[in-house]
Amino acid sequence: MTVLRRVVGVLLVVLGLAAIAVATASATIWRPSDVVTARAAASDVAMMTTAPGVLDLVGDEVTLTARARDGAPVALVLGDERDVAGWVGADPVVEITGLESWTTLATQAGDAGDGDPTPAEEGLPDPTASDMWIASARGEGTASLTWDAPAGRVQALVVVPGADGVSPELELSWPREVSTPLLVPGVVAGAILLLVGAAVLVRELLRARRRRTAVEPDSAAATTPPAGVPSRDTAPAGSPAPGIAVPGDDSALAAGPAAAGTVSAAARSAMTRRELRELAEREAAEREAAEKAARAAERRARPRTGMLPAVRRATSTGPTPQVPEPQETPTAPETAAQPSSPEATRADAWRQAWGFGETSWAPYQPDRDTESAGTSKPAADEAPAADETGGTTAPPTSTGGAR
Amino acid sequence: MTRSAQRTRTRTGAAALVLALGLTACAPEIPTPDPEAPPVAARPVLAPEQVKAVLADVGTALEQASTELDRDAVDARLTGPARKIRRTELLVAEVLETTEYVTQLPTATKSVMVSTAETWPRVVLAVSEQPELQTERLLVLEQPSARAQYQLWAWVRLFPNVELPAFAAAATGSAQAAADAEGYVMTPDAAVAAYADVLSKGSKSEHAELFADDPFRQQIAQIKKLQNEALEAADGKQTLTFSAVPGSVRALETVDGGVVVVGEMTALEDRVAEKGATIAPGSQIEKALARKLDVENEMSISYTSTVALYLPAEGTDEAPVVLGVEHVATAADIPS
Repeated sequence: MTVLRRVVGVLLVVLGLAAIAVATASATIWRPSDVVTARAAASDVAMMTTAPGVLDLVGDEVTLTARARDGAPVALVLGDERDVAGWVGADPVVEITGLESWTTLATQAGDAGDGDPTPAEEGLPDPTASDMWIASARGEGTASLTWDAPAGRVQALVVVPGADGVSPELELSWPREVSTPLLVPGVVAGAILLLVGAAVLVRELLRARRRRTAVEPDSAAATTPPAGVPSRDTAPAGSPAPGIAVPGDDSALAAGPAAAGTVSAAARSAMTRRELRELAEREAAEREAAEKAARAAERRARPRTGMLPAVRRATSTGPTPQVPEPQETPTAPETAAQPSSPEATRADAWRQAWGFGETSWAPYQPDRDTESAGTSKPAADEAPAADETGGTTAPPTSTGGAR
Repeated sequence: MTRSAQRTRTRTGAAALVLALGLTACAPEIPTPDPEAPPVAARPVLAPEQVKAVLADVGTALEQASTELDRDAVDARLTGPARKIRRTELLVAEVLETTEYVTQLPTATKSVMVSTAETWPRVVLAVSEQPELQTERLLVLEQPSARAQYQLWAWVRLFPNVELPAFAAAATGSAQAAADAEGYVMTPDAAVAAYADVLSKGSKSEHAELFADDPFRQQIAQIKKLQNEALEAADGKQTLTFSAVPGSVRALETVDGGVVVVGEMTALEDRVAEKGATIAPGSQIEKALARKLDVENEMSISYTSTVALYLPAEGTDEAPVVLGVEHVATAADIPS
């Protein structure tokens, strides 16, 4: 799961950077040229015109350049549609109708007008003398005009006057506003992808770190004992688990009147008000600890999706029940056959610590205590048997005083 | 987020990237011409600044010719009756060594009337500024064909206190009427012919009542009377006959449906006295024209005249109005 997340995060970052790079390139390296220049040449014809609409084809400002080879005189004029058509008359003309590509103009033969064409030996007159034109230019070999007013249906006319049979060439060039529509959306989209990918990666990193530090508190919570009994007796050696309020300095005080989970009513009445308060606090803490343990148990039973099972470390510093040193239980009957071997006493102590000592649990029976002989009687009965058998370790029925 | 949602997001991101790359790789489309629609309404053939440029050129030619007394200088920018008249005036000026008789033609204009013709010939009328102590001129410019320039075809001196009819603005243009156009009280060429008849025959003309009296008509009547009185002593006679030149009518429509017509006329004056009498040219111009002639008892003088008429629309009760005339002697001869 984390691997997939990381891969997705990295992929998003890469996509974001790529989008930004492509968008920037589209506005710089791959940006189309700012000036469009296209040309066309006529052959065997001494006149060229542009169709209406060609002059403002790419932009509002157009620079026309007419050329004729060998320095022949060439005239370039701009005029109204009907004026140009009237001037051309019945003579052959090449008409420029549009752009064939970004560098070539499309041409076609113009329609023949009415009337008689000029005889070839006469040649065409120079149109610059006419009063009809909007703008005109003339030169030897080349002539040029710039036009930036609204073109409407204005046409250009290029004529090589005279009878030399030289054909003209016309070049139109426009400055163009190049738009880069992909730049802003590309950069924005790339930035978004980049941020999302970075967020995913960062979140993954944080979670991994949190998971590492979360192992100790989890394992500590899981190993809290169901009853808070031993913890009261023992001063917790390591750091107490959060949530378990162990009144450490009260443990010494609590040692005396401490009982196995319940304190007899008689004992309660014997306590002072302060001791009662402390007892209440301890019980509250107990309940909290019990709830926490229950939750931890639940979590263990149903782990969260994506969570790897937590491995409890061998060395645990949480409060574990300490096995008390084996003590001489001051039971009344000395003659009671006590298992005197140290291993037995230690094992007993362990069992007692873990609550395995009680074979039967009965409420407090005053008869037993007062008749210490009574208690020892079964022990006495058993003792000879024990003596006879030779040291069977019969668990002494204790009154629980030594606990 | 679930795995499938993540996968979808990755896929859409990749698709967007591919699309972006594809778009940048494509070059922008080649545009096609998209001109505005052809104009429906008629447009003037010349813009105001173009008219001004033409008139400036004409003025320059006239001035140069006047200054250098070079008759050929007017050939580029004058044509028709204007050229004939001007050449004669320059000749007279050369002979008499004075430009007194060269008609002043200012080319600064008060108003311009431009034709909207789609074909040729094309006509432009202009009312010039007033030269000192004289009346305005009505100039007629014409472009005979597409490859020709605009030339001054004729001018008339407008009568004093004449009111010109209203024309459309120069930016709108006026329609050009043909010589035989209908819709007016008379067709343009018939009107010029009628006026020529009135000038020739005076009150005996059938069209005498058609035209209101005008200064030129009075002047012609006066000349005839005086000349005949003078020649009567020598048992002589003077006749002055005007005739319209066919096919030389230029007409532009006015706003109210009428038309202003400018037509060319020729006039022939015959002075005949009895044999043995000697008659002499009357004016300085006649003297200049007849300088090489040995005038005895006969002489004839040819005139080139132009007249501007206003013809109201058909159906109105208005009469045609004579706006102005130019009348210049251009040749003197001895009739054989």
